[in-house]
Amino acid sequence: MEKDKLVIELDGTRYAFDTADVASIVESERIPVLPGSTRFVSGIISLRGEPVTVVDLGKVFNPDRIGEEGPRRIVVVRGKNRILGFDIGSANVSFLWEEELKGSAQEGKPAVSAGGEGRPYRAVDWGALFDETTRILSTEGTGA
Amino acid sequence: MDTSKYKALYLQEADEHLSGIEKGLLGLEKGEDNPSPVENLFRHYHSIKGMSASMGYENISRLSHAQEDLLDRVRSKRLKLSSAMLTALFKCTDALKELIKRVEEDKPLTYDVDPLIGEIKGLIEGRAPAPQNVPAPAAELKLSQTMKVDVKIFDGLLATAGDLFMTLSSFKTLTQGNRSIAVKDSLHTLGRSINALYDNIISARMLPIKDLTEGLPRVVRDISSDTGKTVDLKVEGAEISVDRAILENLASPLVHMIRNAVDHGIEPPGKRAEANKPSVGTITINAYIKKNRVIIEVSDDGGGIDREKVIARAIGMGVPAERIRAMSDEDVLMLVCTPGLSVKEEVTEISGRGVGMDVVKSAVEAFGGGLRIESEKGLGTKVIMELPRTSSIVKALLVTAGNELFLLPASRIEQVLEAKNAELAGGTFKYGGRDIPLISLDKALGIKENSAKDVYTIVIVEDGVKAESAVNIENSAAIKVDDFKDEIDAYIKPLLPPISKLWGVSGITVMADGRPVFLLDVRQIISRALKRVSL
Repeated sequence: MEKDKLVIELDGTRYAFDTADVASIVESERIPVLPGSTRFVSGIISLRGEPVTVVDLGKVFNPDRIGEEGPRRIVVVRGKNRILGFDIGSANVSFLWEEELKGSAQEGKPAVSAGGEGRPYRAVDWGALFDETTRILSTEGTGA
Repeated sequence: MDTSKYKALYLQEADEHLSGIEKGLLGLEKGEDNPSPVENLFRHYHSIKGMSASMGYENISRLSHAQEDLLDRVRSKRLKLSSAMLTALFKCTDALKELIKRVEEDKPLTYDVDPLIGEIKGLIEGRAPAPQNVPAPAAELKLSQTMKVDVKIFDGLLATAGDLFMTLSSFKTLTQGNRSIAVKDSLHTLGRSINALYDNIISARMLPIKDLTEGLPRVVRDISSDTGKTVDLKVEGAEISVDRAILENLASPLVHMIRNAVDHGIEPPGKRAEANKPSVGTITINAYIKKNRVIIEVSDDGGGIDREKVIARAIGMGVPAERIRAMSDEDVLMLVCTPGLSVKEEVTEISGRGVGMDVVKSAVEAFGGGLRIESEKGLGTKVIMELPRTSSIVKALLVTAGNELFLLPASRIEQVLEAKNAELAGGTFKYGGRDIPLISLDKALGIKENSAKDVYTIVIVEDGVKAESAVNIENSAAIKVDDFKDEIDAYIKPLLPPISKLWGVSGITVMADGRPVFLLDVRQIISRALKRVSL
């Protein structure tokens, strides 16, 4: 069953997170860097005293994308023992509610679903991204 | 044995067992049989008996033993529980209460329990003994003087104290230019209170190393009998207390090390005889305090690590031979901590310490500690772990590199200097008459550099894991940073995934303004710098 979605429109693509996973949307002037951060890892922020590793949502799906400078928004998602921030720059954020989504999901294509307005969105598997971030920060940083 | 320090725990547990006994006896009297009250009662008496014997409270131990004996017969259906038995058990329980009260009040345990034991024996033997009159203790409802508290509550308290420390540091910085005596007094009082709060929380979290080592004789016994070796375990400094979180993290690594020492370090008796060694091997755990950090050494008098075999295995795993040739002896020994090197059977057969040493090293480093190995072929091996005693508040110096802030642990800092850019051209820095590695922090951590300055701050650091006899400077380095700020008491949180294995840092704090700042892992940074210089 489709759940309410937070949708981010970035470089013409709509990315979606389950709203139940979204812990906060944080505004930040700059993101302190993570030592040896690489690829799509942007840096680290804190949410209510808890450190949150931030990845660049655009770079996750387009490694050549040039990141934005200046104030930005970070979508923080949380699951069991996991927390991760997605730097979305100044991208627009909207919602798709369960009622709009009913019947619009395309079976067999879990990553890309049709939204309520008929426009497709890419459901972000942030758990897999969390694992990938853990892997690259363990092997690719300056310590490699 | 000095048992006074365990008295509070004894009283707390005894109270719980007495209350369980009373509940169980009342249940039996009412004919309840779910869940097996005799079995539960038996366990309560058995626990009181064991605890009391350990503490030297002979009267309590004997009386609970008699009751346990009676219940054992009821449990095994050799006796049928009668109302006379229940009455006797209630009386004996009153006597136990009285005795335990005397323990609490530090009164002598002169209570004569023999008549009660005689009554129980009489009931067991089917005689009709004269019932003993025991003055029932005055009915009183009292709360225990000790409390069992969920560890998570202490974790929460510690986190709150940590936040207070960070806020205090921020206040101190904000009010630096303020000359008001009232403000300074208030800050001083606040600081003292936060320190006292923190000390109390920490002392409640501290556990003696003994808690960890108590189970090891059994581990040694089991592995020794499996391998046909005779091994003696000696523990020194077990009374030293360490934060529970750190001890907990050391449990599996310690078992790994002991297992390896027995299995692979200590030779079989025949081989020991050939080497003119005593037939009984010895493993020693020695804990001591150095500069407010705890050092735990695990040594054995076995065959030592065979370096040639370790090197052969490392080369077999793809470590370049030229890299190994350039390694110091200490680095060669540390190869046993390479993940994967130790898991193969070949290594467990090379009388080295392979199994799980990578796990041991990771566990030690997870709390900002360090590990090194000393080994003499034929004489034995020593693993030296150096750890903080508490896991959270660290005195640290704030430094800047590029536009970023980092913390350097004060315990690692030898000196803070200024140096002209022109003096920092090579890869080394002249300090104490020697050239030590010069590390540019921004480059080491892959941070965007600021434009060149005329003068930089140089922080001389040492890795702190060197042997007592070694000259410190050999493991020192000069870290070049843009500037330094205040020394603060930082509440350091452990690094959790996805940053749990981030190179060059050992923890993180969140400043009062919400900015996360990493605590640098000086040992790791120096280790890499020394390797670079030696290449």
